[in-house]
Amino acid sequence: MSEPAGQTVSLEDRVKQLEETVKLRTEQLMSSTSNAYSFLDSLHMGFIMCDVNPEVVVTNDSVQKMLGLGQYSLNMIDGALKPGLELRQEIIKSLGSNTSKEFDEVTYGKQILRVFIAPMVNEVKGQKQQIGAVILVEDVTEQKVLERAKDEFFFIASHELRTPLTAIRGNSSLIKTYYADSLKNQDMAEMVDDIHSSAVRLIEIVNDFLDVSALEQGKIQMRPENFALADVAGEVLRELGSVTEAKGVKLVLDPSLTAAPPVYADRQRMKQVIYNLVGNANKFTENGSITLSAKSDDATVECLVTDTGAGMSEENQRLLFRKFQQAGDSLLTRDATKGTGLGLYISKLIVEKTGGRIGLVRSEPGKGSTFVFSVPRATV
Amino acid sequence: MQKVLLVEDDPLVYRLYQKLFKLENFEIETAENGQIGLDKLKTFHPDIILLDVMMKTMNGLDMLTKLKADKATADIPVVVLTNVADMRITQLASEHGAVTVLIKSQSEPADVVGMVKGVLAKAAQ
Repeated sequence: MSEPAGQTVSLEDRVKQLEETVKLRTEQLMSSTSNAYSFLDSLHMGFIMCDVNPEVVVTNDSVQKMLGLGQYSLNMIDGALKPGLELRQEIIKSLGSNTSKEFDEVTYGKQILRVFIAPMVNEVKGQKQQIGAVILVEDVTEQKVLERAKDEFFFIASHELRTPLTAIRGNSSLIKTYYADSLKNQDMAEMVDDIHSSAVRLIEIVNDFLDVSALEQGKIQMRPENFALADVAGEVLRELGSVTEAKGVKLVLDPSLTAAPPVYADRQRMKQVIYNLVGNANKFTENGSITLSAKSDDATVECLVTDTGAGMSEENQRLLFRKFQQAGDSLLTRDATKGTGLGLYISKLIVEKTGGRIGLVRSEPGKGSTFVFSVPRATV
Repeated sequence: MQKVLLVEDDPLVYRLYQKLFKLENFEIETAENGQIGLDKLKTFHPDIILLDVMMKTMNGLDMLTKLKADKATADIPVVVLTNVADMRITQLASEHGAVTVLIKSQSEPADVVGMVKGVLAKAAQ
């Protein structure tokens, strides 16, 4: 007859039982530790864990391969990463401030690494305690090489496209200026004119494309300074004056703009915006005027460009400021003589990067349109 | 007759400016890179230098640094001509002592001559 369990178990059995449990628990623990290790080792990203000293506790396979180090003491890793990154000091700083840190472009031999350091906090009985730091290392070499190739592409494209265009523009211009006598044939003179205009238009297209790509990638650095918008507007009006007056469109600089307080922005870029808005107005205005005026408050100056041109329907107004958009045009009915349709989009990117806004105030078919953009006022 | 040294490696560009400046009654010499430019300066004494940036053997900025460091050539006004519309180049050029930077594709021949005449008139004052 068996006895009720737990009542008369011999000491020997009891020890055996205990041994079994310990064995099982140890196996479980080892298995979960080994799971943790294999989890770390299967990570594509390099992983280092440090204690608070800081000294390395664990590294994974990836980081050992990435750094080409078999063994791992922090001294070794720290030494290997120098001078790209002062790892030990940065870990100490991160622990000291209890904040994580990211280093985007650490050069390591021929590799480029991204390194992320974060303090580890453990909560025991409601008490938060720093137990060390975790360091993630990612090899971003290929990514960076691609990025650089893209940058270089635009740099080279801009240079290589512009050079032959400069020669076409310049030579056709020389023929027109210095050899007009030899160009007695009307058709031939017109051909030279067209070659010249084509080169100028192509240069504008190249510039627009490169501007968009640089602005979208955040590659254009603004160089803000204090200046009067009226000065820049005056320059634009002088440059475009001959073009507009030839077809009977008057350019007007309203006294409100001359009286407006100075702004703080990139002067060249603001000129580009005004140039785009006035140039656009001119494209759609056959007679009448284009007026530049201003309104200001404590923080901003608003510059308004008002024309007496074609205006737009409400439907077409919604399409403004989009890439390649000429309001109302389908792909096949685009008016190529009106440019790339990038002007307003570029202006929007520039104005927004300057901390202002751009938009359409009003537009009425047959009566004209008013565009506005705002610029931060200069701080004294 | 006023003298121009044009340092430019692309025949499409230097032939254009050679014609332009001859038509405008300047004497013009061409060097195809910075090193040739520095060598030419030993015998040719221009009133102004038009200097391209991207050139092999010696680029424009290196030549600019060298000629500004040499007392014999430091006072010759230099206009940097480029087609790289990059503000960094504009800034580097002015830091190295260029009078101004001109984007070739943005300039009609008349603009280039106008700028050169302006710089020369200022230098003569």
